[in-house]
Amino acid sequence: MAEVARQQLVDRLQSDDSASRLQALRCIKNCVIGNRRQKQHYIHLDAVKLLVAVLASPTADAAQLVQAAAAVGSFAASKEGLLSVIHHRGLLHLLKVLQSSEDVKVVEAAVRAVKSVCRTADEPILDVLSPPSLGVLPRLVSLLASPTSNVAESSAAVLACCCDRGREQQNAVAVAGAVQPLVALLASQQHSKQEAALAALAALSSGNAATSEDILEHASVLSSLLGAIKRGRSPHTRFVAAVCLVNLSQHIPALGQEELSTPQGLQQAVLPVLVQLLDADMAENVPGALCQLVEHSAELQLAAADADAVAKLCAILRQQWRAPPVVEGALRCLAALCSKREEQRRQVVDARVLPVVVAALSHQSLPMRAAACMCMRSLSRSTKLLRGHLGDVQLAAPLLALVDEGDTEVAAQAMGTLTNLAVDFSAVKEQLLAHDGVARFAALADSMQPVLRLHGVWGLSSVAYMAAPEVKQSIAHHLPWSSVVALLEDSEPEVREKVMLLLRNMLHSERNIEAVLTWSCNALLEAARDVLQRSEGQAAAELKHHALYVVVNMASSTAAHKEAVMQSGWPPLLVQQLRDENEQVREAAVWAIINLTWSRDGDAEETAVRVQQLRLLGVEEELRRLEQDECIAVKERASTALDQLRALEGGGDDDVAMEAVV
Amino acid sequence: MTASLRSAAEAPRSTQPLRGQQQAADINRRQRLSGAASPPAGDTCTEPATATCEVVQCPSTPVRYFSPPPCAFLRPGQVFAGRQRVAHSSHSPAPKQENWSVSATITQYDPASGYVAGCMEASHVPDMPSPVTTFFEGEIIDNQHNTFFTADWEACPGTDILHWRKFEPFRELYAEVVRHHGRCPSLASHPYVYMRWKEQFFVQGSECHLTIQGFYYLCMNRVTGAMTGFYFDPSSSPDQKLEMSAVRAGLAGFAFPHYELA
Repeated sequence: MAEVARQQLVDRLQSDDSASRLQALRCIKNCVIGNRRQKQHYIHLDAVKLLVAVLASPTADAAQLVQAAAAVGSFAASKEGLLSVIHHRGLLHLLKVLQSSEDVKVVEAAVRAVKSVCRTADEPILDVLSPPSLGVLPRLVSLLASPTSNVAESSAAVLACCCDRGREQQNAVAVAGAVQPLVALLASQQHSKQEAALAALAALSSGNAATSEDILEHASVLSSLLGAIKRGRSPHTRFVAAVCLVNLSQHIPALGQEELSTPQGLQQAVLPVLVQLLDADMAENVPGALCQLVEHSAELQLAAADADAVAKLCAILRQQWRAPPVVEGALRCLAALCSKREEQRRQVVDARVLPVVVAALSHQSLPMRAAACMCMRSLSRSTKLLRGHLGDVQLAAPLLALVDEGDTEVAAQAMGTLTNLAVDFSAVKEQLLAHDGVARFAALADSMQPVLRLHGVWGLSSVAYMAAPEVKQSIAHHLPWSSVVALLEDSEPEVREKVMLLLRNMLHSERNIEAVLTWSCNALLEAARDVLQRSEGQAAAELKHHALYVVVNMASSTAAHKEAVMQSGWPPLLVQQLRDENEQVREAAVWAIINLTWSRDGDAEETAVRVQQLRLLGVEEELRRLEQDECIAVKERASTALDQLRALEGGGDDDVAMEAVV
Repeated sequence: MTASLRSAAEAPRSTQPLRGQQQAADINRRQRLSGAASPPAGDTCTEPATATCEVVQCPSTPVRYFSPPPCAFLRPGQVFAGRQRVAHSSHSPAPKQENWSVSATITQYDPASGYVAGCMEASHVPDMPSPVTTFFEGEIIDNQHNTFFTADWEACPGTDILHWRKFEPFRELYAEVVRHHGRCPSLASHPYVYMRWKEQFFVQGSECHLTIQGFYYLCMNRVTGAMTGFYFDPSSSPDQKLEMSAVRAGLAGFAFPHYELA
């Protein structure tokens, strides 16, 4: 059609002649439906503005409203057209028409047009569906029962779209009474109605306990959904039904009358369906739904792994045509399945998708980078992979870049992964050190964000684990003792615990002890003691545990270092810890006694003094009591310590005598 | 690791199982833990089982199998050092014997799942100018995840019993282990820890003539950390004994590093 003719048609939209206007509306609608180029022409002629004006006109009759709504709906199906519709407040007028008209055909055209807008639009265009505009909800709900072709489906689709906006909108949809008619629609024999109801119920129940409980009040809903996951006509139907069940299973009472009405029963029923759907070439985010199902349940993770989900998810990662949300879902799901299980981590490596995961660490989209980081963190919990395959890929640089992203959650995930990669036996440790890993960790240990502070210190504790003296010197250089003192008083218990772990590792190996003591201005033992005393009664077992191993490691060295422990106020505390309720704490305290009573060639006199001091504190009686401890490890160590004391009494004063009893 | 009977070119560089093999091994493990009396499926062992091993009586009353408590000497960072005696072809008129210096460092220990892993390093290996390092994974015999019956790696109950009985402390468990199909009610209070270590890949020195096809049966004293092991590889030298003791990290005492995976 020539430009002139199009302009004439557009001009006639403002005609005073009702019949002429109607004809122009019909012509334009027929031209643009399914024709992107025609849409562009009419958009440039400002046709959308005039079409919306028809919708807004109080004089427009039903026939004109039907044509105008259909045309606007068609424009909204394209990105450019949608922008024009929104710009001219087309959605608002469509909703007004929908609310005010009693004409069946007008309502049908309007609701279909609104659905078209909803399908195309992203945030924040649909803010119009925010609470102030939610007056249209009762109208949409009433349309769910409409017998007119497509009206109920379109209405359900618009309601689903509302629910996608957030919890407030979900609640408003439920309050408007949508649950009952949606459940009724679910039982419809018409496939299209059933699918529309499923999509709406999935959106309504997503992450919302209140709306999920509303839905669960309807006795038939579970059987309908279970039927749909088994007998749904299309993979899409089975998928959406599965999503509904995943959402609802999280809010169903634990004690159902039948197995399939318990959370576990439902989840076990859904799991194989979702795993099977991983094989289908679907656009839907099946991996994301599976991830939601399994991420908090070790049992379901195992069931998914047994159903070969890891191999299927890896296959998705290898399919380059997959949409980013699906790939992201697959990475998150793999992160969940590999978080605790070594066998699944190996499957990922054997499937040769490690390069895909590494590449995704630098993907342009933040959610993708975050998902890849979660997956890599789970993989990095395998010492086998740390020693082997992970050494073959460049990980330090992309992970450190993620730390700098500014997103705290992503940075924490990246730091967690780097912490794992920093341990001594990891093949990636060298990469990390070459990228100034120590300085980066130390800087984060100073962060205002508790989670980053935690991971900064944690990372340093891993770097210090069995590290060479120069690496420990680097830690001391980048983390001044004043920072350590501040971290030992941190408000977060986990941070305090990890600092203690760092000190424990710094003191491991006598080659480092002098340098570490110099770093701390000889205040390390007292600082550790003060932390323990300050938090006595409320200290986590882990903090005590690491604090005691600070002493154990210090006391494993020279007579001078053992004497430093004796003079630091620790001995009475050690004796006290021999009665701690935690067996690991008791065991650590016994190790400290073993080291303090250990005699080296030539220091028999000093050892005798230490032994005498400890005896005066009642160590021997405590050790005898611990020989009957319920924990075998504690009993074993107590026996060792007592044998050592007896050997000293017998005159054994050298290293050989000590080794003979251990 | 052990000296290979094959040429260096034929020696496998890794024993990473293929997926199918891994699944078969998993199935075997599950069967092993289900208390099946017969040798597990897929067992390719041709070695005759001992008579006592074949006649397995089911305990008449239900028995609770407790796991041994965690052991201080298996914590990450613990180093063991000692030697491996490798005797080539004991049937030849002049059997050749080698002694390698061996050390092992534990990198991971999860008593809850009966898992231990680390690196082994062999030095003074003939024709190797530098040490050979391998990564191993170990199964701790815990009655829950791993029993005394191996069920894969080409070992069968007969092989298992033959090797376990080489350890003096095992002899007091022997009858129980046979009666309980590889489990042992007394294990929880026993002063020794039993393990199998299977080397997975070469970390360093993969060009060596050694093979890591087989695995070690190990017995460790809980109090001293002293460890004895016997290597089993049907295609390699039959007489190989590993003896290691726990190395204390401190100058005059024990020091313990620690890491926590995030």
